[in-house]
Amino acid sequence: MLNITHLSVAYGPVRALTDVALHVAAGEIVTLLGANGAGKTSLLRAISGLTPATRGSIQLEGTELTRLPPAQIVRHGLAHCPEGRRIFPELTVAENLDLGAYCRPTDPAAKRANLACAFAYFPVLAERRQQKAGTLSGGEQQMLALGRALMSSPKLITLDEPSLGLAPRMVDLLFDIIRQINRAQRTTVLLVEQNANEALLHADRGYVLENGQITLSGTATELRGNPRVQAAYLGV
Amino acid sequence: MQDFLFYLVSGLCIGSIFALVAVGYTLVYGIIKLVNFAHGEFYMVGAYASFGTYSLLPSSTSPWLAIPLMVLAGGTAGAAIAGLTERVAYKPIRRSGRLAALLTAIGVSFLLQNLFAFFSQARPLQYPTEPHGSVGEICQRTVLLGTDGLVLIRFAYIGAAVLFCALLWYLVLRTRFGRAMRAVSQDADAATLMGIDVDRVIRHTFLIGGGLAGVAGTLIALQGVTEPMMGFLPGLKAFVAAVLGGIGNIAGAVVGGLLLGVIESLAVWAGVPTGYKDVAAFVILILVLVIRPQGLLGRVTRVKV
Repeated sequence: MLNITHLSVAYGPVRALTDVALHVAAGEIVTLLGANGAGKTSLLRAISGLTPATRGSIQLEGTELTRLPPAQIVRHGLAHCPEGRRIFPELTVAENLDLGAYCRPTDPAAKRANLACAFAYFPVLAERRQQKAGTLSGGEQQMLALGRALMSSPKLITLDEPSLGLAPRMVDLLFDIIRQINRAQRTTVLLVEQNANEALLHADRGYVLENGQITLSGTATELRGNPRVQAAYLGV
Repeated sequence: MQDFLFYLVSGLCIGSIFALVAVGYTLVYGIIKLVNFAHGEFYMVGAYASFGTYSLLPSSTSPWLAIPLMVLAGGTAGAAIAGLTERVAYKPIRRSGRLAALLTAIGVSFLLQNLFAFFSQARPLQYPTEPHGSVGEICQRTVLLGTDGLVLIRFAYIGAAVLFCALLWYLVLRTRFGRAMRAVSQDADAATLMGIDVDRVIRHTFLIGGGLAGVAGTLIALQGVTEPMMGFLPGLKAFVAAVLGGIGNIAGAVVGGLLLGVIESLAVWAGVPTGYKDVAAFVILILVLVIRPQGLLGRVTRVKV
């Protein structure tokens, strides 16, 4: 599904990622662990095209993404839920969801189906559809961000710290739904998380990113058992 | 009292022009946070295009066909110059900070003023009022309001403002493109992630704003003069109107424009010498900035550091 090789990203003289290789198979949930500033967000931004790659290749089902403008990348089946949710606060919940389907204007049937699907996962969004998104609680905003991502019928969803600032109960609920989406829609998920415990509980595989380089990778079970991961990210 | 009515209506007419120009100011500000000081020049270019169209039409053309054609030409030219300015001057420096953009806007303003001064030899143009039934004569006809004659064509200002503001309202709130515009103005990166072509939205916003300014310039010049500096003061006043209503807020720009026109006009009615009426606009700007910096319809936003 997603195949990244030799990826480097730099902000001027500052290197954010160096020679990163990563792959995600169709239907997988893969998590990316790492401390603040390790380059997790840069990696997701490079995939969606918001931050240009300085070197290397990012392929989504064989399509090279590094040469495409970000607005085109969405059309190839990528939905990026950015850090901090980035919903449109002054637009209503319904308008936010509608914009999620902006890249598929010619398929009203799919749009209706996706909307029904988003409302089924997050009934609270249906209740608040006419409310301005900025008036939602943090957890509801994250639901909206996920629902909005689903609206484009994505093959791959990248999630940047969906649990940030949410109450533990909400985090559980959210991860549950991410898993349901993964199973029911066969949507592949690349998940960036600070909450390594939760992430490794739900993911199939994981990568550890340190100072812009991949230093470890393996199945979720392997990573959970790795003493370095336990010490650095699981707090064991 | 009859006098009052005259000044009120007259203020609403000129306020409609301010509203048309202010809406463009506020649209562009809403999308890229640029105070486009060249906006008044789009108005001037519109007036010139209208005059050019008038000169090209055969003298036998009915004024009732000629005037709509001239307004159309003015609007198109305003849109074209706005699109060109965006492409050539603003787009290359979009990531260079707001001060660079502001200075560029002032530069574009001077450039356009002087280009037109150069090519027109700075001679003000006026539509000839002869013969009877010509465009120039029709646009000078007046109707008696109280004891004063109000130029009839001024009512077209109100009509144009109502028509274009209604169209804009529909576009922004009811269409897919309008939704994309609002998304870009709130969060351009997130809009990109939705698959919105942000560059295209910005370009079209300039086209719309420039078109409205071009129409306004054309209408004003129909009964006045067409000259290179004509956009300067209306541009500044439209900026005041946009700030008065809350910059970035479309309804605010309309309200601000109308209010500014009426206040200016009533200031003259109340005895302020005509030569000082322009001062009213800037006194209002200062008062708004001191008392209610977010404008009448604007909302307080906190800038996070």
